[in-house]
Amino acid sequence: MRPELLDRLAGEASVAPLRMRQARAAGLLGASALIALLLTLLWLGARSDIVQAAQVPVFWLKLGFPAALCMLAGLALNCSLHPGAPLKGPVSGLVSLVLVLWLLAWWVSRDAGEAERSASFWGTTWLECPAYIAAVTTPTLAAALYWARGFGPLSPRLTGALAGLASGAFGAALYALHCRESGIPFLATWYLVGAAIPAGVGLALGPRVLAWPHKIEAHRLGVH
Amino acid sequence: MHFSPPSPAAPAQRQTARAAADRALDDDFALGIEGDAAAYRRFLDALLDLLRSYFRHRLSTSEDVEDLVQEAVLAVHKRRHTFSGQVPITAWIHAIARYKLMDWLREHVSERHERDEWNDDAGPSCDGHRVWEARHDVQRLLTALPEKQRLAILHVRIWGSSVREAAQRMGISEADVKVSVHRGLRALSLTVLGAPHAT
Repeated sequence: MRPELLDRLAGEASVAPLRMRQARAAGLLGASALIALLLTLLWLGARSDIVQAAQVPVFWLKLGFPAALCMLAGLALNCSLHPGAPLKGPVSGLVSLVLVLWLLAWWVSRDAGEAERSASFWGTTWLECPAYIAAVTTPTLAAALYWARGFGPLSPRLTGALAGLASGAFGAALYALHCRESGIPFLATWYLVGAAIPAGVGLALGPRVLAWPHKIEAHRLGVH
Repeated sequence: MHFSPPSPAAPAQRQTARAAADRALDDDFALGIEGDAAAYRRFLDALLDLLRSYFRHRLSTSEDVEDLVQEAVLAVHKRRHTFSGQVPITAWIHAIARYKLMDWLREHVSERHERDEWNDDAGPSCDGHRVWEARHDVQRLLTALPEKQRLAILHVRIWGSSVREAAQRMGISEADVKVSVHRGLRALSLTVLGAPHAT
């Protein structure tokens, strides 16, 4: 490389620190989480028996599993936003969390009869559950993608999918406030499907909204 | 005493030297994006060294190496505002260099492949090492055959003699040469492919 070019790059090196620029996006992310909560409470409404339901462990599992999923997906997302950070830990955490839940779902329904098993899998709201989760997640997904854009993700597909998964899991935790289902197989399937919808959207949008400039415009920098 | 055992301090020393270099790189970068041009220039020089050694180990032509070094330097520069300090700066640079390399390989390998398909004169590419390896393999396989089959194959298929010449040199009938070649090849393909020879 020509030394003049290096000198020029050195001359224009100063930038605002990442933290300062990201503060606004982080604020937006917080606001979107609040909007999602309001959407859940005002549009869907919390279940009317929420006080009694809170005394049953399944309620906390329905809240805790998506919350844990959201945390791990957020951790993985954070790693994918910092090129060079190892992704293996959070991703294997995500996979094991899902496997543990599936194992639990299998365990509770191992002795159940056909009718009981089908009831705890399909419930009565299997179709609306993923749809509502995906719907209340929309503002969070948009904010998460905007926030991720401020970093330099090297794999936009993965980053988009993780942003979607994190916001989808957050939406699933909120949905637990509304949902009256009590089957663990239901939780292990339809909550995950709900979280997977925004993850798929993020995967599809990632390359478009997060893509790292494919070719640096050399002409703009005066290089040939 | 003439021989002293290798000093156990040596690797540790090397490690500290490396850590110090990493720290210097980190500091220069941090100062640079705050507006210290001289520090950033030092960072760029160290970056060039790092990238050159990275790409040199992975690409054969020096023009390609320089192309990629330039691409990666510009990428690092253009994304300098996204470095958070959450990972060591060398790991960040390494990830970017790797990304640029993958990108470059994707683009250029398919380009070359297309070019070769259209260019009939090019002929099969001759990689010296591969040729040597192939020769070595053939010799190793042939030694496993019975003497008569091995010689028949060597005469007819490798040295390019006619069946008649081979028969004269080996002192056997022409039919015997043909049968030996055939049986030898079948035995070879059985050992290599686990299936009978097609022809």
